[in-house]
This record gives sequence, structure tokens and C-alpha cells, in this order.
Amino acid sequence: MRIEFGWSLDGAAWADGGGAAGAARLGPRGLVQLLQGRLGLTRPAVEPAVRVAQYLRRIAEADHPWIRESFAVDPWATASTMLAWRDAAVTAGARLEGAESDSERIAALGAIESAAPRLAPGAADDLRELVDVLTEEVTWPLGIEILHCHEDPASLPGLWPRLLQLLEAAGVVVERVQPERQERPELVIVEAEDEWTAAETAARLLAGRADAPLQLLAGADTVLLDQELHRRGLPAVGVAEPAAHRTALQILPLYLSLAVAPVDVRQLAAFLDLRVMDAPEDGREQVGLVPARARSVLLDALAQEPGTGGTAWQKAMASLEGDEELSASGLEMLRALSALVTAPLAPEELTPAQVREVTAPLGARLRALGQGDPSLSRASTHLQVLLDVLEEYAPGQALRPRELAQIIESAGGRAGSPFARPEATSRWRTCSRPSQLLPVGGDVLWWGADRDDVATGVIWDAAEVEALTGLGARLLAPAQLAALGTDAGLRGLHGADRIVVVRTRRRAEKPTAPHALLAHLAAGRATAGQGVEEVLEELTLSPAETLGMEEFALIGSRRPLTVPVPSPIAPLPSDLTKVVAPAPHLLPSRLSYSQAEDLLGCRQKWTFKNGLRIRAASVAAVPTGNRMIGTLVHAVVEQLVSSGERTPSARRISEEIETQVPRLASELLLPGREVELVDLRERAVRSLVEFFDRLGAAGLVITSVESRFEEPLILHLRRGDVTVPFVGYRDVVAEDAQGRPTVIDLKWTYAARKYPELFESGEALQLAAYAHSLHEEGTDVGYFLLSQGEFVSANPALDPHGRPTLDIEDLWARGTSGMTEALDEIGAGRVDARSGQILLDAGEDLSTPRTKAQKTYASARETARAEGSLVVDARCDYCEFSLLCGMRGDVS
Amino acid sequence: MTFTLINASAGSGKTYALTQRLADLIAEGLDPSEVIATTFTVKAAEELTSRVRSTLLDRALVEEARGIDSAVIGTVNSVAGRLVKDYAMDAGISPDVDVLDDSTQKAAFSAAIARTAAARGEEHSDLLARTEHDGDENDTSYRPRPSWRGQVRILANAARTNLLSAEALRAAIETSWQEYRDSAGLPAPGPDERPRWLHLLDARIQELAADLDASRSPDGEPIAGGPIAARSLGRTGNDLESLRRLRRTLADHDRAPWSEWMKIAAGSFGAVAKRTLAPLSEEIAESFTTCGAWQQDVRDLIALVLDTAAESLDTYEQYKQDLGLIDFIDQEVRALRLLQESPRVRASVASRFRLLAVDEFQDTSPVQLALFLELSRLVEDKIWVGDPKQAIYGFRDADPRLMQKIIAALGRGDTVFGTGQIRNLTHSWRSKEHLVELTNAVFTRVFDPEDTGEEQITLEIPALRRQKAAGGVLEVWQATKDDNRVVSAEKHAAMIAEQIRQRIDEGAFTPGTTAVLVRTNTQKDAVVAALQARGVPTAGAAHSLLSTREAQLVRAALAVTLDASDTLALTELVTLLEDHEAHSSWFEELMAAPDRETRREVYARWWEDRTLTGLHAVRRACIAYTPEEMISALIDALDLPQRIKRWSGQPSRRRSLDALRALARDTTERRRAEGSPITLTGLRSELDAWEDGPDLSGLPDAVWVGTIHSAKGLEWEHVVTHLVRDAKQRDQSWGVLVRSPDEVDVTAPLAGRELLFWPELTVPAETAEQLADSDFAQRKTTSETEEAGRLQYVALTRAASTSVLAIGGPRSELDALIDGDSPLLTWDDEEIHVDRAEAPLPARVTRVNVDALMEQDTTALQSVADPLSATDIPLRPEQETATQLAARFRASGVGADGVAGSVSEPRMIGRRLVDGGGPQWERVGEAVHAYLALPLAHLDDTQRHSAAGRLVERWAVARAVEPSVLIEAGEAWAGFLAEELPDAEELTEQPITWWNEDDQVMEGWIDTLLRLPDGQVVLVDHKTYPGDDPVRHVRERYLGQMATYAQALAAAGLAPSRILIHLPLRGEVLEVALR
Ligand code: SF4
Repeated sequence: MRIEFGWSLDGAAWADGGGAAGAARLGPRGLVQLLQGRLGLTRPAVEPAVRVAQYLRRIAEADHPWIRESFAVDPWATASTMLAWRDAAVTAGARLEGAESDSERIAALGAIESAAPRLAPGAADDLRELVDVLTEEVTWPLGIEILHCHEDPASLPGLWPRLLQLLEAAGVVVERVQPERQERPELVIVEAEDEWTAAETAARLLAGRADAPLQLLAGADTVLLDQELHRRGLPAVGVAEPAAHRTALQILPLYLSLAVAPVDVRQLAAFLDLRVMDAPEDGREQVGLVPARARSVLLDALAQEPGTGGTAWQKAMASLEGDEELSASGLEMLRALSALVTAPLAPEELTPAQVREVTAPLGARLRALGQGDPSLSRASTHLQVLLDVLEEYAPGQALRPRELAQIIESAGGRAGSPFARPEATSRWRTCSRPSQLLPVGGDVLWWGADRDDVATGVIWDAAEVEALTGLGARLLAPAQLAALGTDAGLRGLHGADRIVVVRTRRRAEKPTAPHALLAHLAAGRATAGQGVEEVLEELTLSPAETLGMEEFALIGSRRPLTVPVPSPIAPLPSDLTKVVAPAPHLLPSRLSYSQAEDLLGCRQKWTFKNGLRIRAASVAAVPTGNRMIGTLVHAVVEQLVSSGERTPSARRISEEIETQVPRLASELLLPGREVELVDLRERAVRSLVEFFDRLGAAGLVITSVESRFEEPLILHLRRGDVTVPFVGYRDVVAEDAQGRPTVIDLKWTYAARKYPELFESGEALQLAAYAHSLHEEGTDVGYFLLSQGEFVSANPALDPHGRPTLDIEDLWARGTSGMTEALDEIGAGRVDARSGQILLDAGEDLSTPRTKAQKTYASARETARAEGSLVVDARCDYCEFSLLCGMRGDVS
Repeated sequence: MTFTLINASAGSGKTYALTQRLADLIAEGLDPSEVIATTFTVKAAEELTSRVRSTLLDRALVEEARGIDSAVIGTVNSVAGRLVKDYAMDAGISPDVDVLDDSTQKAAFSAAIARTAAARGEEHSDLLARTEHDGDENDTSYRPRPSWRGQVRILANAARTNLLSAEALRAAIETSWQEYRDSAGLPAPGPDERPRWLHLLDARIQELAADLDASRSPDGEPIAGGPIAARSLGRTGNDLESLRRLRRTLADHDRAPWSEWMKIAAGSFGAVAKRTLAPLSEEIAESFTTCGAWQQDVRDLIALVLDTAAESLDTYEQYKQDLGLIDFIDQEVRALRLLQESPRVRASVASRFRLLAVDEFQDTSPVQLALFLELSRLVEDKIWVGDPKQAIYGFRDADPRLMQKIIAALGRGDTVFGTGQIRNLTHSWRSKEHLVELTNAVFTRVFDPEDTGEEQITLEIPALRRQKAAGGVLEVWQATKDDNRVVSAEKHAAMIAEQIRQRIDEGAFTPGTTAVLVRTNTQKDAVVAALQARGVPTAGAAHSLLSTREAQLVRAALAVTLDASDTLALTELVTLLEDHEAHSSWFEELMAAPDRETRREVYARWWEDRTLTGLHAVRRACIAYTPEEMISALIDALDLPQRIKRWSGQPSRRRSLDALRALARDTTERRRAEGSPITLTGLRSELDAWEDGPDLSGLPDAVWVGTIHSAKGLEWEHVVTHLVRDAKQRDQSWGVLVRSPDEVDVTAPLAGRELLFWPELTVPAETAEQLADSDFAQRKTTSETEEAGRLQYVALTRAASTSVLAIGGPRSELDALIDGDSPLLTWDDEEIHVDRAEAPLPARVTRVNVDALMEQDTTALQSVADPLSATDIPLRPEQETATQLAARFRASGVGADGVAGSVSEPRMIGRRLVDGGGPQWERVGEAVHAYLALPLAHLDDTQRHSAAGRLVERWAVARAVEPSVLIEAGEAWAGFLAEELPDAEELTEQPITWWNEDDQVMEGWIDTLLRLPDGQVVLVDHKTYPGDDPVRHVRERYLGQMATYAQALAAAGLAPSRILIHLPLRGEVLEVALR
């Protein structure tokens, strides 16, 4: 057999033409593998992560002082770095076992090499072994007639010259080949501002060529290029990087992150939301690790209580336990997950044995789902490798979280991209490095041509070089090593007649730098007195320069062009109202205060949200921020009151907050959130002390909290009376000595002015709604602002501001008539968007500063008040429907 | 040992000088890998590398140019980081750490100290309330409350970058307080009078209320003759309200802010209220600073902040260690410590490098400087290039004074480095004559007021350029107003934008060659908005990503692809895609659906629309995508690259697409560094919360608008410098000050530095004045003024042909750069005068009444068609393109379907080796296979035994088979060959390559080829099948593979005459006949 061998040829196509037997083009890795087969030295591959774990044990045993500290700080990284150095030294030819040296790094490597625990051999050892076996044992023919070397064997680093010598001795003819052609190719560089334009240019070039085949040098991933090629009916080049950040390799870390306290609900939600396979039949819910049926139930539970182990979660689990349509494996997974998050491990309990135990159900679920699905079997393998690595650890040894994360990451390796799928074509042949180009003349399209960070390998200093050389290594100076790559690349490029480079100046907002070889090519094209920079500039085109009047033209490739009819994005409407056929079916089955607010504030918002039930994904409904804190503080008040205390102490309040946080705001328990939590607690305690004190001082006794009410509400619609239940929860109801009730609503808000203003202008509709439903003469009302610790009320004992009394019945009447009118209009198919319209009519929009918008609403409210109606600010700036109503558009 | 300092004023060809010097040295034999060079930015590092390479190539030094990639050239951080990584074990740290950048560092620090800060904050809650230092560090509102945690972070960073320890921070408590007390002239602490004041206040309030009652009827009508005049009633009423509110606040003795007390003393009350309060307010004003409790609070606050900062150093360190993180300062400090402390590292570095080049040395922080000096002691030759006049990173702890002292010491030659060689670059290679004259005049006056000539300030036009550089245009655009008020940012911006628009219209400027330099982001946003309003293409637009149509589409598509039940996102897609069937009828369709089931059908129909079919494939494949690939896939599925061609503003839209990918990439990186899992759900929520805009800097053919800092190192033909009328005055009597001694020692440049911290407090006016006069405030003020001078130097030296001073009034902030009363810059209709300059300079002066300008309608530039909107393909592929065949295929993957052939009955050639499988049979198979791949005929017995033994051991199948089993299989096979095909030459493991008629390529290894004496070829494949139905197994599994091999061999001219399948585990051979 004939081998073409080159330092950068790993991954190159084996042969050219229609077919070949007995010939292959190999790089160092390929040649080692071939020889292993020839010499009977094959063995199963060992996962790199397992080797690291093994080396880690060796280090622990050797306990060399030079790395003791680093090893204590970060065992895994220290082990993998040391192992990489060790492998580099071995590849270079050093025999490390027992090596002693003044150089501490070498001495440490020597000491570790002599330690007892087993280390599975790696690629470096394979090379070493080949050399040893060839030196000592092998007398049989290798079956290789000739080895054509691209490089001078003597210029190669490490054991390579020796290996090639041994091959020669074993009867292989080792011959340096000079490439057949070495020209000074023409050079054209097209530099685009962004990768899409670059891809478009390259795809046009390929599509517009009259059949002459070319070589395509894909120096960067071709994901975008392939998309453009597909649009032109051409096959994909299919170069894409493998990566660790694919869902398949994130399942395990995600799952394990839920096993350790404190649990991050957002990660839990992400796990629930994880879809791992497309739905078996189109249109159905995609399949997840958590069964689709359970997904929304549990996410809803989290939306109610963004914590773990609360009643909502338990209720959801209970309902799922009884769900007969859940598969056994699905239910198992759920139980395991629930057990995991309700009783997570303390970080110090994280041992290999525990990891093994908690991941068992995940493994089972993956197997149950994954029959034949490549992504899921990748996830299964990931788990298996993790368990293999953990074999190297004592089962009871505590793992630091970072160490476990490192192990998981290493165990996963990198998974191939779905885009890495080259498609068959005779139009071009592809390679990924300049050195892999064939010396056949013709055109080369060099896609990418970005500076590649040449792996300079491990840098050894003078003392180390000396020590390693003494141990048998052969090290090349870094500049020589760099030159090896440059030379190989230039040899490849010089085999072409013309090179067209298409590259982008930036990718993902990072500037790219051109490949070093371009300067070398340019040097070859410089005329006397011309500098390289000048030549490069002269040869560089912008994509626009490839565009003629009606045609794209670049090195003889042509594509007809048309300029598409501009279809500018429509400007925002000035009238937001939508008019359609009557929709009498759009009636609320029941009304809550927030619905009432929407009906009055913005009919479109109500229609989208309640009438048509347009919903965002459930995972987005898990609350955070003020909404979450509001719920938490409400619950605290409820608990305090129901435990019967009239004026709970600060301590008691603080304890109650501590109790409720894990259930209702567990994200505040995550590391790094301590300040927020303390801040919240301080504020809430101060505020609630004030709350109870004031109530007490005002002679008010709380009689109920979170009391639900349901009231038939008769709406006199144009098409007749309709009765809908009006439902709500009154936060707090208190009574004075005369039994006169006061309805109090609790608000957690930083907008301190909003509620006093509503109250004073007599538009505190929520209070009116809740008070009205009591049907008691003389009911008083008020807000309590939790964040500020202040009441907003007409009762001077609660609020010294001397605010006017709220006319509940009048306000409620105005509210119901507003709602009635809104529902009439919606039913008639005429749906306006009042909140946004008010802004638009004032010449304002979503970008108007809030203070200015507030003034606009204030004057709108005033006008409405004069007409006996209400204006509610539905907060367009927070509204999720702003794209649908037309408030939000495109900036340009 | 050499030490060369190149003093390179702006535009004097600094990079050229450095490049040439490096190339010279390499030409003289310096190995590129012995170069260690630092630059200010990544881009500069790239540029330096490629320039040196080109220069070497220009000199035909090809060999040297090839090796240049082995040089260590990078930013200070990356070079320091590289050293730290290379020598991590010597430093006793983790060798694999993630680097926190400026923005992630802030978050990491907060997270690290959260526990401590929470505890200390809770403990000192009242103190922080009284001193109003309990603000939020991330508060971006107009006047945020001071955040003590923010101060802690600043202090911790300052300490680290100046190599000050926790002890030094603690020691600073006492010095800071002493100096504060002395500077403020605080009296000896007296008693706490607050209870008394409160009491008095109550009385005043009652009095005021009574007076009001006596002057106003219950329904608000003035009572004639009342103690308060009718016209003052309203004001007084309000004042009373405020006083009552104030009273309520003050009643909370423990938490009432001191500043509230100051309000009584200096509150903005009406005359009546003031009069009523008078004795009290005077008392408070007078004795406020005497109050012992207040003094104690100031002291406690200083102690709290400094002490927490001291503690945070350790906490932060531990935090980073636990998570495997390092920040920029750590990299530098650790590198420095290594060089100082580890003999091994010193020796190692000294042996590796022979040349140290430092670019932009003027902007180095103290610790960076120390690092460079330490490196300089180890490395033979040094070249430092920079320009002290361009030091503009004081806010990042750069200390130009320290730098100047070092340069002076090098020049004197009394350091360990001997006498440095100082080279001044004196030629201007950038700007035209008049521009050079202006900057020469202005900055000689600013930087060398005594006219000592010591500093290298002026440049001259070299003879070579004299002709080309003649002339140049100086302009003043002066904003005038109808009134005397300050020109607002908006109006100032309007003037600039309108003038630029006119000049572009006239053809004097082009967008791509013009820049506007501003000081603040507010100014930038205003200029960008004003330019955009006039249709001037602008780089630097400030819109958020999600306000662009393309990002809205991607966001919605991501949501609906991940979760089919997200009907909001689906509806958004329908409304955003104008070619979706339901685009204009969506609302109608939904409204018409009577119930939930029907609506579901509507949604299902929408999802099936042709515009969305691309997303179906993404949904199927997304589990295998990285976040970045997901974004790319969505962009393609939505046909965005083609859609954009139909919209306006293509270039910036393509930047949005790139920004989306960057977002995905950054999120991934950040999460990885945090150790948190990376999910597409996470991507979704990141995108939802994203507030940043796309990076539009450097957009071609657009006017560049940016801060002077970001203009560093850049140049344009026409540069407009935004100058306000009055220099901004800031209160310099609080914050952090690092004081360095007057003399520095280059071997210990940071020795003797000390730090002070003063809190930001409301104090009586007199005290404030004293504080402003303090050494603390004076030092801060001076360094800020000096920095302002350098900043303007950078600004005014960016232009090649036209330099415009766009000034918001009849004089400019430049005047504050010099002492004394005379203005630095004045102008009349045709000339600019620089203070003390010999002659005025010709200038074009334009005065714009900005009030009138704002009234005018804006004219927009004619928009130019974007050539890139031309297309060669339709918006969307007409139909689903047929799936293309994979480029590569494996013979073993080729099915037996369609292959005509038969399989003979097995022929027994030896014993059955493995029964029915067993757990390890695959590995046994591999071992047997590997054994049969050897040229067994050439091996002697010992060799066979050792080979078989080795393979059994290596494949770890010793429990299943003995080595003898392998040998037996080999012998059986050899026996068969001898009998059946005597004299055949056996070629094992032969590479084969084949292109099939569909252009697919197959590469593989054929187990064995037998070459018969008559030239015929027999194809053999060893299969490790342990089962019981070999004929069927081979027919079903291997027929395709054999057919492929046969075709491949035929194509290579070696068509096999026979095909044998050897089943060593069963001891059988089968023959395959293809038809
Ligand atoms: S954005 Fe405003 S106008 Fe539009 S739906 Fe929401 S609330 Fe109504």
C-alpha cells in the first residue's frame, strides 16, 4: 500500500479521482492507527475523562510539592493540565518514569509517572509504543511499500523522525515528495461586513460557475454558507464545529443541578420545559423527559408558587399520580424528579455513590425514550461515561460542585452538529485546511480564511528543554513548529492557479483577522517596490463590487440579479381600533378585578388575554421580581393573621418570611441573592410592623385575610342582561369596635405615587369592587403599600394625609358601566385599544418617558371623569400584546 | 540590556515605528518566539502581528515571517493571563480558569460579597439609612442614592490594582476619618440635640398651623388681616404639609436621614415658613457638625465601607477559587507576584523572552506598570511606545503621573535599567497643516503653560508630505440662542446633525469619512437621533435589539418553536410576516372562532402556513443545536437575509442578526463559566430580557458617533468635536483617592501608595467649602482637569482634513483647561485665536441659532439605494428542496435492498470459538479481527503468541477467550487458504476509496485482499458473528457492503473474482456471489 503522509493531513480525503485501492493520505493520527493495526497493537478507545480521573489518582498518590497547592484548589483542572503536559512530553519522546530533574515541572511529571494507580494509554503512548515495538520486536513486513512524506522527516518534532526511520528500516520506502505544482496563484479577496453577505457572495460564486470544478477550502464553519447554497439548489459543504452546548449534553448537568440545594426554580422550569424529541405525529406536543401531560401541570404549579415542595407542587404531583394516561417510565421520572427537588442534597453530600443513585432514574428514562434517537443515546452515553469516571473515585468521597461540573463537562465531550453533514457533489471537493488542497491548479474558494490560533503546543523553557532532551525528547523551537504549519499551508495554496477568498470582517460581533497565509500569498504577487499591505488592499473587493447592473460577476462566475421591490415595514397605525364581524360569543364566563381593569383600560388587551386566550409559553409564567415578592408578602400576612396574632413582633414576622421564602420566592435563596433577601426582609418586617401597629392604634381588628368572594354581577348589555360571577380575594378585612368593616388591599410596588393618586382622584376601583361586594353600609377602604410601609386611606388614624373618602358605590357604578360598554363594543366586533390610543393621540408612543406619559393619562382621566367615566392606565410599556395591537413596531 | 522609550504624539506614526523596530530586531536574528508584546486592544494586537509579518515579507524575510505566530503578542490582560496560565502551578492556583471581563466581573464581585454585604448591611441598616448610603448599585435613575456596596467594589478594585492589602484598607479607616475631620474643620463632638430640635420643630409647626388657620377660612378663603398675607397662603400651606411629612420622617429617630435635618436648616421654604423656622434653622445650621452622633456616623460609615472592602478581598478571592474564575486585575497581580517571588518563573521567563514591547504605555494601571517593570528586569531589550498626552484611562485606575515619574527616572538614567534611550517622533503623518498648527498651539498652551519645552508636544509636517498636507480646514460651529440659557444636548445635537447633513449634501463630507466625538452617552444618543432624523446614515444607533423587526421575528420564532402552545408568539409571527396567509385577517379569524377548539384549529392552520414551514424542521432538529446554531437556523427558516433586502436600513439589520448570534454565544459562555446548564429555554429567557442594542460601530458608509475613549487610535477625514460651553464641575470631595509618594522607585513602583475614602454626605455649605479646598479634593480636581486636557488632545488629533469644533455657546469648555481668566480659544468670523499663540488660524465659522433650528422642519438626505439589496433568488425557496445525498457513505451502511446476490452455505474451516454470543463477544470479535489483520504467515510462533496475548489483554477479553483461541482462528484461516487458494498473496487492511455515481465518496479499510497468481483478486471480510443463522445474517447485513466494495475495487481496476466472508467465531467461511 502507498501512503501519502503529511503533518497536517489528518482529516484529508484519502485519494482523488474515481476510486483507489491500496492508497491513502494520512496525517500523524491516521498513520499511528494504521501502524497499530499492522503491528497488532489496537485497543479499545478510552474516554479522555476517564484518563484524567486516573491521572488524578496518580497525582494524589505522588503528592509532588510543586503542584500540591494547585491540586488542592482544583484537582480536576490540575490533573487534566498535567496530563496534557505529560502526553506532550511523551509524544516528544521523553521517558518520564522516575525522571529526576532540577526543573520542577519535569520532576513532578516524573514523580507522577512512577505512581502506582493505573493510567490508560493515550495517543502519546500509542506513538511511543509503536516506536518501541518497531525498535525491538517487529520483523514482519508492514505491508506498506512507500510512504510519501510532505515534510522532510527531520523537520518533524518528537518521535516522528525516529518512527519514520524505523519504518524505513522495516522496509518501507520513505520518500520526500515535492508537490507537482508550485505556482504563484492569483489572489482575489472579497471581504464582507457580515457573514450573511459573505455567504451570499460565496454561494453566488459557486452557483454561477460554468461547471469547472474547484476546491473549496472551508476554513470556518459553513452553516450560513450552506443555507445560501440550499437556497440556490446546491448541496451543503457541511462544516460545523462539534460542541458541548447541545441539549443532549446538557440534560445531565441540568438534572444534576436540580439535585443539589438550593434548587433554582428557573432551572427546574427549564427541565420541565425540555423537549427532547419531536412529537410522534405532527401537531402534538413534543416529547420531553417530563411527559407532556405533566409538563404544564407542574409548570402551572411553579407559576403559582415559584419554589419547591409547596402545596401547589404537591397537589400537582398528587393529580399526576392518579393520571392513568401517564406511562410508567414517565411517572417514574416524575417521582424521581419530585423527590429530587423537594429534598435536594446538601452540597457536601455530593458523593459518587449519591450521584449514581440520583441519576439512575434519569438513565432509565433516557433508555425508555431513546430507542434509536441519536441525541438521546448521546445523553445516555454521557451518563455512562460519567459513571465510568466516578469509578475512579471512592464512593463516599465528597465531590466539590465545581469538580462535579468539570467531570460532567469532560465526560460529555462534544457532540457533532446537525449542520455537519456534507452533501454529495461533483462541483467541488472540500477540505478544511490549506495544507489539504490538492496541487491540481484551478480555482480555490477559501471560505473563512480567518486567522487560526495556531496551537503552539506546550511551551517548555530552556531548562525544561534541556531536561526533556536528556530524557530522550526531541523538541522543536516554537518558531519552527509555527513554520511547519505555515509551510504546509503554503504548499497547498501554491498548487492552485487562483485563490478566491471570501471572508467576513466580523462574526458574532467580534472582529475577525485575516489568515496569516494571505500575507504570504500577497508577497508572492507584489511587484517591485510594492508592500504586502498595499497588495492586499489592492486585491480586496467589497461584495458590492461583485455586483454589476443586472448581474453578479466574480472570476467568470455570473448570476442574474434583480432588485426586489422594496416592501418597507408598515409604519405604526395611528388608530389602533380593530373592527371585525360581531363576536357575541366573546363574553367572560366570570370576571375578576384584573379583568375589569383590562376591560376598562384596554379592550384589546382584555380580548387578547381573556377573550381569545392568547398565551405565552407556560415556562414564561413562572413569576419573579415584584410579582413574586408581592405574593410572598401577601402569604406572610395571611399566615400571621390566621395564626391569631394581633400585633406580631418583628421577630415573628421575620420568621414567617423565612418560612415562606422557599415556597414562594425560592430564587432568593440562591447564592449571590443574599442582599436582596435581607433587603426584602428588612423592608417587609418594618412595613408589616407598621401595618399591624397602625391597625391596632386605629382600633381595627383583622377579621379575615385572603377571603374569596363571588358575586353575581348583572351587566346590562345592549343585547340583554347577562349575569357573570365577579370573583376576587380581599387581602385584608378589618373591623372597628362598631363592627364597621375596612377593606384593605396590599400592594408591593415601587411606584409610590400611583395608589395615592388613584385614591385621591376617586378611582381606586379595586377597593370599590371589594368593598361593594360586602354590601355593608359605611364600609371603609384603603391600600397598604408594603414596600413603603404606608397606608393610603381616608381614615386619619391610618393615613395622616387627610385624603378624601372614596365614594364606593359611585365608583363601582362607573366601573360596571364602563365594563358593560366595553363588552358591548367587543361583542359588536369593534375593539379599541384605549391605553395605547391615549398616547398616540397625544403624539406619544412607547418610547415616551414614563413621567410624560403619566401626565397624558392624568389629563385623559380628568376629561373622562367629567363625563362620568373611567380611564385606567393599562401600562402599555409592560403589556405583552404590544406587537399585536400595533403599539410596538420596528425602530427604523 | 537596552531600554528604548518611543514618545509618539498623535498621528506621528507610532505603529509604523514599532513595527519597523520589531522587524529590524527579528532581521538581526531575534527569534519571533522570543518576543513578548502587549497592546491596548485585541485589534491592535492583531494589527501589530500582521504588520510585522508584512514588513518581514516586504524585506523578503520569509522564514522569519513564517514564525511570527509564535510570538506572544496580545493585550496586557491576555499576556498576563498567558503567564499566569503557563505558571499556574508555581502560583498554586488552578490552571484552568475562566476570565471575568469588565461586565461579568461586576456581577461576580456582587455575588461574592452578597453574604457579607447582606449581613453587614442588616447590622448597619440604621446607619446606612441615616447616611443615605443604602442605594442600589445598579440604580440607573437620574440621581441615584449612593450605594455603599458600590463604594466597596470600587475600593476593592482600587486596592487590588494598587496592590494594597486588606490591612492597608483597614488602616485607611483611621487616616480617612482623621483627614476628613481635619479638612472639614469639625469641632469637638458635642451632645446629640435631635430630640430638642424635634421638640422645637413641633412648636414651629403648631405656630405655623395656627397662623395659617388665622389667615385662611376653612374653605380656603383668605382672611383679611391674618398673620399671613393672601399671596403667601398657598406656598405656606404646602410648606406646612412638607414640614409635617418631614416631622414624620424625623420622628423615626434611628433611621431619619441626616439630610432631612439639613432640610430644616437649608430647606427651600417660602418666606413665611422660613421666618417661622428661623431660630431653629440657624441653630441646626450652626451646630450640625458638632453633633457627636453625626460625627460618629461619618466615622462608622467610613469604617463600614473600608472594613467590608477589606473583608471582601478574601471573600471574593474564595468565591473565584470555588468557581474557577479569575479577573483582569488578578491576572496582572498574579503575574507580577510570580515574577517577583518565584525564582523558577523568573529564570523561565528570562530564558524564553529576549524582547519586551509595550504599546500605549501611558494607559497602564499601577499594577500593569509594576508588571512591565518587573518583566523589563528579566528581558534583555525593551521598547515602550506611547504618549503621555494621550493617557485617558484614569477612570480605570491608570495613573499618568506615576508613569511620568518613571519616564523621568529612565531619562535621568539613575535606575537599575541604566539610561533609557528616549526617541521622540516629531512628524505628523495624519493631519493637514492647519490642523497640526491648531493642536500645536492649543496643547502647548495646555500642557506646557510655563513654556519649558520639556514635553514633546508639537509636531511638524515632514518634507515628504508637505505638498499633500497643505491646507486643511478648521471650522467652528457655534450654537446661539434667543436666551442666555445653556444649550441643551438635543439642540446642540441638532446643530451638529444639520451642519453635517448640509455638508454631505454639498459634497464636502461623505458619511463614511466623518465622525462626531462626544463626551457622554447622552450626547451620543442625542447626536445619533438628530442625524437619523435627517436621514444621515449613522454608526452608533442606540436602539435595543428587540425593537427591530428582525429580532422580534426571531424571538417569536424561538418561542413558538420551543413550545407549540405559545400562541402569543405564533400570533406575533402572523402579524409580523406580511406574506403569512392570515397576516391581515388574524384578528378576524380568531374573533370568529366560537370556542377554544375552533381557535386551536385556527392556530394549527397558521402554523402550517408556507411562511412557517421552515420552522417545522427547526423544531424537529433543535435538541441537537447549540444556542448559536438555533439562532442561525431560525434566521434562515424565517428567510430573514432575503426579507431584509426588502426593508430599509439593511446594514444595521444585518448587524442585528449578528447581534443575535453574539447574544447566543455570550449567554452560552457566561452560563458555562457560572457552571449552570445551557438550554434553549434559557436562551429564550435571555432574549426576552435583552435590553442591549446591536453593535453598530464601524458601520461602513455611515457617520461614526462615539465617545472620545472609543475613538482612541482611530482617524477620519472630517471630525466634529462636541464641546459644551462650560466644563462640567463635579463634587470632588468624596470617593476614593490613591495618593502616591513624590519619588518612585522603579524596582518597587507601588511602594508608599496609600488610599483614602470619603463618603458622599450632605453637609452645611461652609463645611462643604472646606472639604472642596482639601488636599483630597484638590488632588482629585487636578487629575480630572489634566485628564480632560488629554482627552481633548485625543479628540482634536483624530482628523486628517477637517477639524470642526462644535461649540454650545460663545466660549467652550476648553477654556477650563488652562489657569487664569483669559480664554484658551476665541474666534471671530474667519479666524481662531489660541491664547498666547503667535498668529490666528484661518477658520470657517458658522453660527446657528438652535432655537430657530428646532422650529424648522427637518430635511432628510436623499436615501441611497443599497447595492446589496440586489438578489439572485426568490424570497423563499419555491418548494422544499429535495434532500441532498450525504457526501460520504460507509460501505457497512449500504443496505442489501436491491443487491442481487446469493450467499453460499457455510463451509467449516475450524472449531466454533464462541458460543452464542456472551457479553463480551463484540470485543472478542475485535481482538480476533485485529489478530487476523496481521500478516500471520510472516510471524513465527513466538511472535504469534505474543501478538495474540497482547490483543487479548488489550481488548480486555481474557475472561472470555485464551490467546490460543486467536491463534487457532488464524491457523484455521491459514489452513483454509492453503487448501482453497494456495499461493495467494494476502494483503490485509487495505485502504479503499470510491466515488459512486451519485458523487458520494466512500473511504474504508478492506479486511483482506487475496491476490492470486493469475492476477485475480479475492475480497475477504472477517465478520464477528456468533449467532446461529449465518447465511441469512450475511445476506441481510453484508450483501450491500460487499457489493459496494466490489464496485469500488472494480473502479480501481481490481474487480474481485470471488468474495468470501470469514466468520472466525463460528469457524466458517461463506461465499457471496453478486449478480
Ligand atoms: S400595548 Fe397598550 S394598547 Fe396595546 S394591547 Fe397592550 S395595553 Fe392595549
